[in-house]
Amino acid sequence: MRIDYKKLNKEVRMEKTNGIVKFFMKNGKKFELDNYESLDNEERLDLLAETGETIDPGYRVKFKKLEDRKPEDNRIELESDFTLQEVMESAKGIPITEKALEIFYSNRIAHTCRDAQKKMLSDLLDNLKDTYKDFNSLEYEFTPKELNQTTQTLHRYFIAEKTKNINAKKIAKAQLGRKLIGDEEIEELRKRGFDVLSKGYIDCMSIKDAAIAESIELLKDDETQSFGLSRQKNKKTGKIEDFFVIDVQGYGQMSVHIYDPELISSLSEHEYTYPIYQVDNILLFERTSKYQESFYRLGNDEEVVKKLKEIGPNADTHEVAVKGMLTKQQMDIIYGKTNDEEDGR
Amino acid sequence: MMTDSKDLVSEINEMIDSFMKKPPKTLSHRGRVYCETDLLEIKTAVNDLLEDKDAPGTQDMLKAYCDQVKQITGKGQDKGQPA
Repeated sequence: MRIDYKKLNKEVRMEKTNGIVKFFMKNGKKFELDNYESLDNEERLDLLAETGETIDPGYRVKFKKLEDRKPEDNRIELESDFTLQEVMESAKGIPITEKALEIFYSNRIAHTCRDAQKKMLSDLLDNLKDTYKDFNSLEYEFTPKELNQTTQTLHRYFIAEKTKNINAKKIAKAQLGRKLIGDEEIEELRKRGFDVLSKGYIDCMSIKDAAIAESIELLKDDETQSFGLSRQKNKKTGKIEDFFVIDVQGYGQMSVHIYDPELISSLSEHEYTYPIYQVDNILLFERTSKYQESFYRLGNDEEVVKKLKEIGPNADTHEVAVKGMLTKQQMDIIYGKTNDEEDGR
Repeated sequence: MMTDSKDLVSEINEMIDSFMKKPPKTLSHRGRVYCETDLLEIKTAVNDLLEDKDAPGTQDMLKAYCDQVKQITGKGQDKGQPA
């Protein structure tokens, strides 16, 4: 019997999406900001770890795929029993690291919800394409950009419904109507849990924003860790995007998009002055590669700084510096922003 | 269009912040709690829109949220139930 892999892949995908919906139907309340903020830092990290492991166990495969693109000595291998709970354990009791992990992993969970929304819509469109294949005026062909945009509009529709704004809901519905998404399709998506994913997404983004605000309070008087606002031009769209970046000592560079104008304004005196290297990170954790370890074996920070300065600043040397817990001042030496003589070394 | 979005967002945030700092005296405690809950949800929805300011309909949705905030914060009478 021939296996219909397309059908099988679709079934597996739908099962994963349903799993994420079920998780948020059961645990969604924990992510509402009031409830989340009643947890202490350790409980928050435990919740994020449990969620990540449940809704996106495939992170290990994604991580390996990214690592496999690097030279062998630069790769980090995960053990078969590696878990996110381990990552969180090592951060507990270090306030800034706890906040950085909260920001990073809440952002990842939100994006997992968004990906699930897109898959849900894509599956529905496949069904509709099939159902209406004999009608030229009912064409459900979406480009990737249209799929992204329609996912977002559907999300906005359900959020408008949640905030009880009739006009905002009407506006979103009008946008959807132009793409042949009507009442029937909206109700089908609601039945499948699209609105549950919308809530999961928006709650996790609120958690991320709250953690960013808390981390700014912690970092603003810290003279050793680099952090701040970075404005970057998106190479694909040409748009300027705002990022919140922290060089998390021992863990690596962490960067997330930031949209809240009040948060952006609170960072007006904190510019992150290095390039952003870590954009598609799957994990933010303490593990190091053989290449990175070779620097730490040099014995002291001065030697590490000297060697990194010789090589010159790039993604690898930056990560070595941050994981090696070098300070902002030492980073500036590597980037040639200060002289080690000026620094009294 | 980007400047208009910025103005609307600032207006929304100012109204919400002003209400949070000094809610109308005529509002009961319960009414105040309901209004604050609604306003915080709207603030989250507005920030969500900012993820893609240039998407079709964004400007109109911001106007709709701005109108909703005006309605909530402009209410001086007792509110026993959510809006």
